[in-house]
Amino acid sequence: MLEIENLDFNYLGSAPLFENAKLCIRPNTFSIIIGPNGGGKTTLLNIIMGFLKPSKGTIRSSFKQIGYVPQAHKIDLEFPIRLIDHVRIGCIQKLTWWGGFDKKTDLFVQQILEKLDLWSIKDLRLKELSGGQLQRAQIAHALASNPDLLILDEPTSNIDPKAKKQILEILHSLKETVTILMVTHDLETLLPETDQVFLVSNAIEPVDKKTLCVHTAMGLYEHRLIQPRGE
Amino acid sequence: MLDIFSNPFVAMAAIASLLSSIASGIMGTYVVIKRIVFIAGSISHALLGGIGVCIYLYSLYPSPIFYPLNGALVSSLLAAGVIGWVYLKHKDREDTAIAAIWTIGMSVGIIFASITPGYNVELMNYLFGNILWASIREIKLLICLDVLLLLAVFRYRYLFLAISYNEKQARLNHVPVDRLYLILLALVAVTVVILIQAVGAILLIAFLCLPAAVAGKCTKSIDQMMAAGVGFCTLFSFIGILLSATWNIPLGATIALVCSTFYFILLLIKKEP
Repeated sequence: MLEIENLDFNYLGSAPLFENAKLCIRPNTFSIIIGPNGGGKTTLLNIIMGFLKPSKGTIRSSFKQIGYVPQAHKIDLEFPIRLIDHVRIGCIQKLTWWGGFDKKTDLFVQQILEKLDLWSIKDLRLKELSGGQLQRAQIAHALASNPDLLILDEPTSNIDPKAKKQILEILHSLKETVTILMVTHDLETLLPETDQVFLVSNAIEPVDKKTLCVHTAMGLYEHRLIQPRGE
Repeated sequence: MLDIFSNPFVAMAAIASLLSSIASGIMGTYVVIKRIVFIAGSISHALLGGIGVCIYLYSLYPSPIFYPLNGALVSSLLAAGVIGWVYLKHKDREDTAIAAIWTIGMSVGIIFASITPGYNVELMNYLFGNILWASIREIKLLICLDVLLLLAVFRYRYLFLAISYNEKQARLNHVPVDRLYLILLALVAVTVVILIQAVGAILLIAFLCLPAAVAGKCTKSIDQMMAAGVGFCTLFSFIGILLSATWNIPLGATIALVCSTFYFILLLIKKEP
């Protein structure tokens, strides 16, 4: 369970981004965050992960390990790392005293790569992967740490529909074991599988799933996803 | 042409180059992938301050405590510590702090060298180096450095990889990012101190970034990049030695130009898709 209450946050010298905001993520749920660019989605994720400190409010979390999949454009593709090493450093907590990994961990890495259909390309560099393979590689890295909360920042942006479908299927299959919190713009694709939806637009606003379905179909939410509240 | 290696000075320079290449290939890989080339540059110039102070103090109190190498080690570790602290606590000011430390080190070095009685060439030697004059003591220090780096990299290879690739993900995986970053900077500082005696501050920067950068363009992993970095660094050094001996031009500058030329040729040949 993740509970955020009375959250205030502002960047130095800027107007408050959140005031008295609250959020509750239940275990083994699939929650999505939607909202316009600049509305505070990534800031909220950074607060949850502990990289940003709120000026006020309480954050209570029972999650012990967080897995994080950053936005695709934030991945340094020039970094010289093979896919298999990329997943290995995800399970860095299992490092042995001599600085390597034992056979059990290697097998675990192999299982993750096979599950995400990446084993056959394990020796490729990240920059040699397609958009869909790269996103699956990021998910594999995050899963290697055995997370109980998986945070994904727009994992389906800039990839083709087939790759998008494959990633969504993987995420839905994980729901039984991992709590998922995802920032996305793909409302229509995700709504049937989603437990909770939050609209983050200079505030955190829970959105009723059924209402959102109807409103999305009618195009009523489009303006909320383009312009932050109050602008 | 290879006869020149029968010259004891050239042979010594070749051995020093080979040993320097091992250290440069290993640490250069981290300098390149962690994008800390300017930090290495700043440390390599900051230690001139420590050397200048020690030269001055030695002229007043001739004691082994004030050997220039001791001053270089203290000032480089101090510079690495300050840069590391600024990076971890005030990341937005990092580039300014790097430039300030670079300038402070050089200025202190020049001021103390100027007030030291007699003509002093030692500081200039550290700045420009002279690999042809590599001594047995320097060769031994280079061997110790190579052993230290090989052991450190073997133990910390995945941890250094994790903090170099993505600090945020490393922190979520409970990796002690701050401590490892400071260890990495300390290793860079020690590498700089030992290498600078043989190759000088100018060639040192070329050694620490260009061969590894060339290697990074044609390898798939960190291990391969390090091995190729050592290979390229050795190759560039030997080409530099041959050209320098043939045309009777300064060795350090020749090696630095060979490194840079290969790097830019590779940039032109290996265009990114």
